[in-house]
Amino acid sequence: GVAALADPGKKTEEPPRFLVCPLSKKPLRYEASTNELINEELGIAYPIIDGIPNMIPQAARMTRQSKKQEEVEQR
Amino acid sequence: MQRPAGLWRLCPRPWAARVPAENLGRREVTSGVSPRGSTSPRTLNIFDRDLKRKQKNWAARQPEPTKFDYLKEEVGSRIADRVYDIPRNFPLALDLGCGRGYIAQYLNKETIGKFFQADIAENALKNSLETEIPTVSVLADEEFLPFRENTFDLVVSSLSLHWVNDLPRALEQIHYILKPDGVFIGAMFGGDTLYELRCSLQLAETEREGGFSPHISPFTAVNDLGHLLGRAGFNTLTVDTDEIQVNYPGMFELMEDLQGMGESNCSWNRKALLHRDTMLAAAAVYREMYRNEDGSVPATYQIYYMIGWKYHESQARPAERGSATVSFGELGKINNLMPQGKKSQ
Repeated sequence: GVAALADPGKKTEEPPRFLVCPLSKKPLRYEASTNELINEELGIAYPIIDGIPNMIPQAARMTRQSKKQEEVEQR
Repeated sequence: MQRPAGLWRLCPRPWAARVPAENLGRREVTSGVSPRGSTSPRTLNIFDRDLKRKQKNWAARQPEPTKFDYLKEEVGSRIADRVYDIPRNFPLALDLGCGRGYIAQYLNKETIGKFFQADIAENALKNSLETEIPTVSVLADEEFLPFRENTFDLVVSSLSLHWVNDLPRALEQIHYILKPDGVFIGAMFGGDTLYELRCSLQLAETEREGGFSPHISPFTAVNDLGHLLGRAGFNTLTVDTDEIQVNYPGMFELMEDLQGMGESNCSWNRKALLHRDTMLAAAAVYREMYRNEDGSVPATYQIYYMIGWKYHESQARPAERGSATVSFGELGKINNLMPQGKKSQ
């Protein structure tokens, strides 16, 4: 079970539920397709790399910004 | 053992560790630029956390990281001792700033159910030492903990909190993620750490360059630590200090080891370069002032250990003031009083 999370390569397992957003302390949604933990409210996505969730705020991706950029590109 | 001679010309910064203490006013003056705009302007910003992360990652990537682990191993085992002192089991525990898992290796699965290991350096997490406890690795910044309130029965932290910019906040967050009646056991470098190196560098730099800049950052004082823990909400506090002295062949070997531990200086206001001349002078001063009889030089690491509990109503508390039924003056007659008291009940 849990040890597999730390095992590089295995990405399918869902991360523990009590991981929250380090900034807002709100629960996160696990997005299996991108393997990210997402804070919908603030639009922040924390990547899971080699089975290790990266919860460092500086490493997070702003989901809304990238959407806006995509929209701009589409126009 | 390969010791590249040119290393110090490439990154000639000394080191070490510093902890935000309570005298905030002075620190705001001394702290340099704060290029990262994300944190609020009132937050102290002394240390370059990105650089610290790079230094730790670099250290964990070295071919022989175990060579520099002696200090963290030792302190890790002493923290584990303190965990065993508490006669209970901890289903869920967290090691904050675990590095390569120096505490987990000394604990067993009967005491700890599941161990979360959090650090800012992914290389350290990937390289972690073996333990029999089921572990989960999480990359996390000590200043921004990604855990839900009331989660852990035990939080431990060994020699990692001295690089945190906002120590009061970090302690508050540790308190927040602990369950009621949960316990925090931490170790941090104290104010006398590396005083020999600090002194030698100051003397040498003053002599050669007509002034000195901080190379060893200031650490927290032990009484401040008690106040900080109390302010964060912990009770039944225990803080004690310990000194570990390590002997080195010379100052350069000490500095190389500090770099190997990932403990290089990361203050924003660090000096980018220490002249070779100054370094040689400092090494000479160090040898002259502190040398042992066998020619080696000592380096002192002062360690503060702290234990704090999160409040729970089952915990022992002092009785309310004025609630005593017997005077202290009658303490000598306590044996006569006790049976009476029992009878009256």
